Amino acid sequence: MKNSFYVKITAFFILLTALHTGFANEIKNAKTAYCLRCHSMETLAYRDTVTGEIVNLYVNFQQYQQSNHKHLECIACHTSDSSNYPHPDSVKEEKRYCLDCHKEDSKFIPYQFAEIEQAFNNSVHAIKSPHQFTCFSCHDPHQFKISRVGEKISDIIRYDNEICLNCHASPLHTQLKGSTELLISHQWLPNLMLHWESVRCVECHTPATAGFSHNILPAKQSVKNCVSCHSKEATLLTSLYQYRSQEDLEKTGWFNKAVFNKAYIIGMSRNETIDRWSLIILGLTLVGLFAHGLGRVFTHKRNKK
Amino acid sequence: MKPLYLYPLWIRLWHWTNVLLFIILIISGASLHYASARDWFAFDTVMLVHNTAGIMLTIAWLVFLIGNFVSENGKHYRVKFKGMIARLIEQSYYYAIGIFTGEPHPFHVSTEMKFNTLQQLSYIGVMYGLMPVLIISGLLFLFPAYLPDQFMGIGSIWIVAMTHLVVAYLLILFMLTHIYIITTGETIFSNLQAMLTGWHKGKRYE
Repeated sequence: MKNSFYVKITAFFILLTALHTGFANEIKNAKTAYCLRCHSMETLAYRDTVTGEIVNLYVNFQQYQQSNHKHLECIACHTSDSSNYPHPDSVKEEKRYCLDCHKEDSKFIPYQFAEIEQAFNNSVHAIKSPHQFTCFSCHDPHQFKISRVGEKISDIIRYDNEICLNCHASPLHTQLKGSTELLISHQWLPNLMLHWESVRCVECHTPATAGFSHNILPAKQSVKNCVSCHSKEATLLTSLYQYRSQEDLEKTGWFNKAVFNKAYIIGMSRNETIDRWSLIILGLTLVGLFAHGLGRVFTHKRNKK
Repeated sequence: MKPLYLYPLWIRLWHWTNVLLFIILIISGASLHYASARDWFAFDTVMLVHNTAGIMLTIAWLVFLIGNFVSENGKHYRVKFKGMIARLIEQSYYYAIGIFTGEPHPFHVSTEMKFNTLQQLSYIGVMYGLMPVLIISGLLFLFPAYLPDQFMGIGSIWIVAMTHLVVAYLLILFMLTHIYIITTGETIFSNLQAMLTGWHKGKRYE
């Protein structure tokens, strides 16, 4: 009976190894294939004896094949000697950093890694957890793709938001802050789920700059001003204002709606061109009227003489 | 010639109510429009003040409309097209040149017509043109749920907001000009005095 159990287990591992060997054969690079024989197993992980956390060692082969790093061999980044198993402890001490490769290379200049580094250093992540937080906390180098042009926008949004939610909705996080923490902190957003499905977290949680910033802001400094998005495009503004207005009307009735009108959004009537030209015209009118008045005073005296 | 009683009590009350409401609306409107974190007034309070003053201005405008319909005051807003262009040129010439060379006023106030043509057209433009647009856009601001989402591909509330804004600027322009123009009567304060007492006096009438 006992022997039969061992036979089954052995057969299972032989089968698994065979599967992975065949699978690894798809990979042209022999060294990478060698690593992936083990690291393409979804359950490959260990528990860190110091932190007690599960460290995932799985590399999704499909995603790796589509990533920007697909042409790199594993040992291009993992420089410790990992040729034997079990790997030496030095593997755990490996310090990998995007800018080790990306900073000096002229072909990466358009990606502005120096600015990214600076913005990251100012981010709440780097400030609060300077040692634990690295580029890899958000960007898995085994599946990172800089551009996903052609994909559905909703998929891109989901992909990007999952990066945040991996931590901010993780069991550890909810254990620390409560399972409704995210819901409560975002309660002020009308149509919460629609926002979460249609907007990336980083749109509000980074400073408004021309390009994307890696300076993730503390919650208190994040954008809470609806107009930042909703006045950029007239149709968005309408949907927001009408939603708030309808809500007001239902809650407070006609008279209160007219007098209190909580739907008004700061800045919704702003238009730089109209404001600028109107103020210029008003200023010129004032100057003209003043000059006209002065002219009347002077000519009145002259006419009297 | 005796002084003329041109401004009955209801017109004067209506006028000075308008003055007060305009001032309140301009200050509160600018405060809402340029709202920032460091404002002089609390945003919610200003919104309450602006909406209330706006509703009161709407009522005042309705009073003006009905008053002009049921009283004689309406006749001052009936345009006489015959010779209108010539009168406009004459009045404009007076404001541009004649006023500096000591020429007499080309227009003489009477109980039949208290406004010169330039005045009349600008008041008609304001009261029957800009004011309804201001009021309607203001009301649509308060009740946008009854608006379509889009109008000709543009979010309709944005059109309402821009209309309200432009008309507000035009009315401020009118107010500045109006305040200055009233000083061009027989004396600097004669028109102001007339709107306070109802009686139009001037050297000509003394």
